[in-house]
Amino acid sequence: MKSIQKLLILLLSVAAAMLIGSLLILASGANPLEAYYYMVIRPLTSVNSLGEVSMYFTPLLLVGIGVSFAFHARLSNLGGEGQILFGALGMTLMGISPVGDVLGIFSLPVGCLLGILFGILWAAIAGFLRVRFKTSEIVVTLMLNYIAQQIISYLVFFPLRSGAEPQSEKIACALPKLSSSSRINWGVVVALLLTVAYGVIMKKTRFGFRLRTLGGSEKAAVYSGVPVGRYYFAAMAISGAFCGLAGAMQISGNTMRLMEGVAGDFGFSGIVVAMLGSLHPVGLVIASLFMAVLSAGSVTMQVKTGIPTSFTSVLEALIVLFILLGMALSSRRGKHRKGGKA
Amino acid sequence: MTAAEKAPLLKLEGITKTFGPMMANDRINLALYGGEVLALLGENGAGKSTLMNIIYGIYHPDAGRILLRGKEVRISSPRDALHLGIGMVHQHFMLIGRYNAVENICLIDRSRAFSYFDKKKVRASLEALKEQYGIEVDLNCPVEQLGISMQQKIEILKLLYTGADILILDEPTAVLLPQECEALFSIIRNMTGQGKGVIFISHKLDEVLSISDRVDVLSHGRVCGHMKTAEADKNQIVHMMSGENLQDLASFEKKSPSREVVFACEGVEAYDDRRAKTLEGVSLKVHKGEIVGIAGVEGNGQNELAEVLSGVRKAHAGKLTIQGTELSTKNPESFIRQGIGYIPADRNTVGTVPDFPLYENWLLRKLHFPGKYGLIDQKALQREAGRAMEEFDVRATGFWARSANLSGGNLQKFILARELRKNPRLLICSYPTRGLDVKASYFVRSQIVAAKEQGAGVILFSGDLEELFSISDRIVVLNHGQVVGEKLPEESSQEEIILMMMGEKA
Repeated sequence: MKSIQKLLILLLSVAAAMLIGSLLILASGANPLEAYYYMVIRPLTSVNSLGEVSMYFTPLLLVGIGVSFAFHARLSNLGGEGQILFGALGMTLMGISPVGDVLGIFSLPVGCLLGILFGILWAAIAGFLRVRFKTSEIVVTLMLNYIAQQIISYLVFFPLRSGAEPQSEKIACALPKLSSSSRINWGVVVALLLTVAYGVIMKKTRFGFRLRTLGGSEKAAVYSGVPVGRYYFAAMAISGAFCGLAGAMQISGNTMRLMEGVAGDFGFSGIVVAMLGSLHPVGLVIASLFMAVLSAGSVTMQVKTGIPTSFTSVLEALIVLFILLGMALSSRRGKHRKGGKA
Repeated sequence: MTAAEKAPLLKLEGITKTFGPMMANDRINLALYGGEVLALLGENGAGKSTLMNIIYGIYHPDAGRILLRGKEVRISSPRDALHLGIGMVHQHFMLIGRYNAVENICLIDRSRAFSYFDKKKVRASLEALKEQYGIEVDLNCPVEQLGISMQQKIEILKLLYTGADILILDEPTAVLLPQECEALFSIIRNMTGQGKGVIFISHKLDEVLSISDRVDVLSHGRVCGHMKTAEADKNQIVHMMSGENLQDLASFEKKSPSREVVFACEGVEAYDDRRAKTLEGVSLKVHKGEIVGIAGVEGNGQNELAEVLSGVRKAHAGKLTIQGTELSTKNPESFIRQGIGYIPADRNTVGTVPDFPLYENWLLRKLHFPGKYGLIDQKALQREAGRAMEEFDVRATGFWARSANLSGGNLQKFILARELRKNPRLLICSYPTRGLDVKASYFVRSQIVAAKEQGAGVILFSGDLEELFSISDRIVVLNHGQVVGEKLPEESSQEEIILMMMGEKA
């Protein structure tokens, strides 16, 4: 009953957002059906375009999982972008350094680990401040994004710059491809395996259980003997680890170079994924696929109908608003019903 | 002229309300006359709250009529109810902490935003009302700085200000001390003396018998008893409410505890959440098979003490030992490992996670879970929780039920089952029967006594002196974070304990 209601809210939110979206499309003089066809259906019709979808899918799923870890402990990690950038930096440093040549094929996994480590580092700042000084992790993670952006800008403009463009050298270690006819690579498989791991951890391990307890009621967690500070910190760090890995894969599977804007919108879209997937592993996969299709399709849409790609951000924002609205309304009704039983 | 000869102020005819398959109110008839106190008794879930919410306009009845001074009315919101002169003091007060009494009352006075408050006028009429009904309360102090009984008085004042002549008090004494109850009762008498009708909801029989003129008993959504207080008899009422006899419910055999000390604390000091020092050197000993009752006026350090002793709050100083092993509050888990069970006062957000299904809540404060390779075996967990729920008579739709949907009594039984299944060496119970009905309270007490008979030491914090006297082997009185005395229940009286609670050294 409860989960059906939730699913209904999610589906209605998507529908409502697309409805309002179609008004916007109409207003800009295009045919909504045509626009949505290029945005939602077209990307699924060829192997090549599915490869494009996967370029969005992997980072969205990884960031979505990361954000979900934090959400479970009732923490909001809005710092996905900064953590992705730092993860990307970790991978780049490995990929362009002479150490990479020494490590050979191991430079890819080591680069990923370095990216994860950098992501953890960046998220841990917010985790530490939250645990030690009770600062809002929302504000801190958000602000850290800007700092990360500036650091990466500085790096690609000066120390790491190669050539005329503000970008780093091409890295030596690339993620192996899954098929020769599209850009799809092994990152997708890794992300899906990690989704399974995420599901098992949350549902079946003591750590996951305690994390959820903490999110459900901090006082109950204290009562239950959970070292609350350590768990808040861990939730934030793991969140950063996933975003860091997303960054590392963004470099090794997509751009091959560190540059400004390598994090795209994934930091925030990951939050949408977590909410739309309601933190459930299967939900996260479906939500990231949906969002990835929108993002990949928006490019074709722009070419064919003239609707700018930024229209996807509008859709995303509308979806989030409707989910929040639906949740708020249904929980208010729920409270009323509960009052009746007392 | 007696109350019964007048026309009723409020009359309910055949009020019926269902929630899904559950019949919360079944053809209820009820009458309230001006100048009387009608007590409404019933177990949790008997339908009292639903009925009051109908009168107050929060719910709409499926069938039935509400007659106000002989005229049928439709009450579709609390605002309507207030207009019609019906006011309700809820268990949770609806006051804004930072505002003082006058400002709080100004809030309900006008509904338009940006309208002008004539605070002087409001204050003057409040002063008059205070005088008229003998209500003593500070109108200038922000309400968050006032005690609970003062806040309650402000709530009452608020209703009187709106001109309510039907007042519903929902378990008003649950939060009060004995002497504060007396003050409340005198206000109630002043109100009925001026022709107002009062509906008084309570679990506590003695109170009901002392304040009310008539008693209606609700059970399973129906009015099952109807009597004048003067003719009522305690046994008869309990029987009506639950079908059990009072004798069975109140008596517990006491066995003398052993000499072996199971738990001791010395010189415990601790701070509360606002970093004010609330425990100033508490020392206690608990023997095997002994229930130590802790009495005290609320806010004298009981909560902090219960939390420190169960490892949930850090102690600032002092020494805790369980059968010779020293415990450190820096490591809360070690308390669980050492066999200290804890029933927290707040069962809804401390004792359980409201959004978890029961079988997941079964894992709280547990060190071991069924399963291999560090993975929880959900099936085994569900079986384990299900069996315990059956044994402790936890009534729920199943182990899938979210704990937020359980009634207080069932939730408490669930928490009790969880702690007792671990065979604790020490059981700390913080207000274990607060808000529970007679039957559930009896069940909880008898389980606590059973744990003690199996050799556990028990520390029982309670605001209910009768409870403390009926099951503790020793009563320790706490005042301003210090132990001010210790009495054996058979050698003491409630009056003596109350005096000690107020700070008089024994």
